[in-house]
Amino acid sequence: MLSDQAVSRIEAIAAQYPKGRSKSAVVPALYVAQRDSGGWLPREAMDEVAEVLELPASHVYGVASFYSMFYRTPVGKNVVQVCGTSPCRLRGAGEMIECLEKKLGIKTGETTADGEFTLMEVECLAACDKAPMAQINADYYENLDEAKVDEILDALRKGEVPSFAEFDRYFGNAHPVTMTDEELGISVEGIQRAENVVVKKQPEPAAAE
Amino acid sequence: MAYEDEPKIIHQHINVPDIKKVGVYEEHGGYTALRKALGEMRPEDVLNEVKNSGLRGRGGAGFPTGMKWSFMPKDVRPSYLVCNADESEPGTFSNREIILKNPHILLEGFILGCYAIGCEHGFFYLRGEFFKGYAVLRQALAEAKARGYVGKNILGTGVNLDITIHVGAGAYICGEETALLSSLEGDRGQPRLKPPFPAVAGLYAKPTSVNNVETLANVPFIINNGADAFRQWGPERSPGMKIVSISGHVNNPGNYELPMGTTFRDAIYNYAGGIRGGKEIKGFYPGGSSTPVFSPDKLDTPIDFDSVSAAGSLLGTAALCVFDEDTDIVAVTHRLLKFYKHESCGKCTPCREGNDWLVAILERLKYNQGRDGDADVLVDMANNIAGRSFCPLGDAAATPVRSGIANFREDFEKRITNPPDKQIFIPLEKIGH
Repeated sequence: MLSDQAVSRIEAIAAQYPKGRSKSAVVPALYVAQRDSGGWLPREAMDEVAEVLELPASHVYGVASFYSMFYRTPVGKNVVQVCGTSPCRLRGAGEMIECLEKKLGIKTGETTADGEFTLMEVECLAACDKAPMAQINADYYENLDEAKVDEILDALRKGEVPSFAEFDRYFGNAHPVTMTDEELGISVEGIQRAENVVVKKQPEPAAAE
Repeated sequence: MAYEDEPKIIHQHINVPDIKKVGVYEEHGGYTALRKALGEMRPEDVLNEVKNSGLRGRGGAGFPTGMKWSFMPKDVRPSYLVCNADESEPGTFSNREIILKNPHILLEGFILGCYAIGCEHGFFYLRGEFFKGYAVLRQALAEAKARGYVGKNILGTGVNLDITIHVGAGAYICGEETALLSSLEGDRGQPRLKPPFPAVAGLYAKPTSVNNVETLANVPFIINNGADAFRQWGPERSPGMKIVSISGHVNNPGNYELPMGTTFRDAIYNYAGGIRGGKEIKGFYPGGSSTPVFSPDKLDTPIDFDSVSAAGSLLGTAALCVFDEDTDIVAVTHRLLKFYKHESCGKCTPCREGNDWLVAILERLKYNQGRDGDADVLVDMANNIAGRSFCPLGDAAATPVRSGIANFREDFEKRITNPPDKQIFIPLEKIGH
């Protein structure tokens, strides 16, 4: 069952699209459902998304199965995704995957027995200049080496935020679109409306042709 | 002159601390273009300035931006502007840096674009993996709203604009504009047939312009300084600057904003510090993995749309992926094809099935089980994918195979006649799948 909080977040997202276009909210809504269901998407959660957005369940399954960031089987508490596309491979991504497999004691695509980590190889994450790199939960970790990997895995095992994470808070693998401004730390404190308001000049009437 | 001191357009202030905050961005001239446009220019003036600047789309196709905007019918409302921030072409990483470091330059360009085409509800389509980028852009948008640059009655001028940041969920195909629109409407990200073009029937079947991050981020400069200032760099038909993303076997990989017309040699050896370990360059993808690979004899080609096309490839996103003399091109091609196989949306048979076959043959070559004539079979198959699929993904997938074999045929054939345990060979990947 989706929590009330999840349902209201889905409704808030749907309101950001033009009237009658709430179908557009299906992807962000699936992120909300995924977060609400422990990091993956059981069928019941997809059914509820369909209900909230008034879409056929089959449509929601179709969307969920199209995109690689929706997990239709359970994943570990931490999702480790190493970019393995050629530009990263040129700079040691293959060795990095091998290193992570060894440290975690699993193969790519598997989850550790304690349910802490799932290791995946993913496609280009747009950080080719800082390879090898991995997205772990919400954060990109770049220019990875064995020492950094040790530090990251240790911190995550303790439930702490690794020192060089992009976010200073632990969000697990929840997408920030699922969060309210407050949760995400969006703040406009101290920002005033711009003062010197410009007055629009009346455009010159176009010359008769 | 050191790279840091050279003039730039988008990257001029990118390393200023806190430039992502609206106040700091304003201290560095931010939102003056918006004030100027709203105060002194009609929408068509903004559109004409961009048209006169000759700015061409930076997302890969290089279509003139002002012309794209001018195709939007003026009497059909609502109309939409969608910023394509689904950056996922292998080798490309310039948009992410703009979003993370200077989101307001992108927002300002976006607002100017909306004003030019009369759009009152604009969308960002941000790739799903950009968690931090999403958070940064959402903060920037909240700041811009608080300042009155976005929302109702912008700066008291009566102009309205609502902006929604939409997120994808991991699908390369959504960078293709019609697939992006399908995805934004809440469908599977599958491409649509053109015509109708998005300018006529795009998002929600309304007139829509889809523009890349880097394209829009150039617009504030053009409005502030005029089309001629933009044209001081680059050749007549490819004016301005281009962010060149350099990756692979170079000493200093990264994004470099360089005048159009800079040569690949200059970009690789001067800006990116040359090849790692003092090795020789074997080749490079000039504009992302979907553009035909170049051998070193093309190093003196200028980086602009027409010169790269004339030399037999495409500028694409100017994502230069460089590889050295020891690189196994069969393994590089194999991994790229695994990418295209994974990212094929499955709509067209040649792309869906063909990529699977290409990967299978490349795999047997990689593991020294190739058969005589495999190179010819690969080319034949690739020729039957290119031009026979709905969208450019099929063409893109055929490209590394066709151009790889055209340029490095003996590497493919050596895998059969002289397998790599007898060659000097650095394995690109140690693990198989």
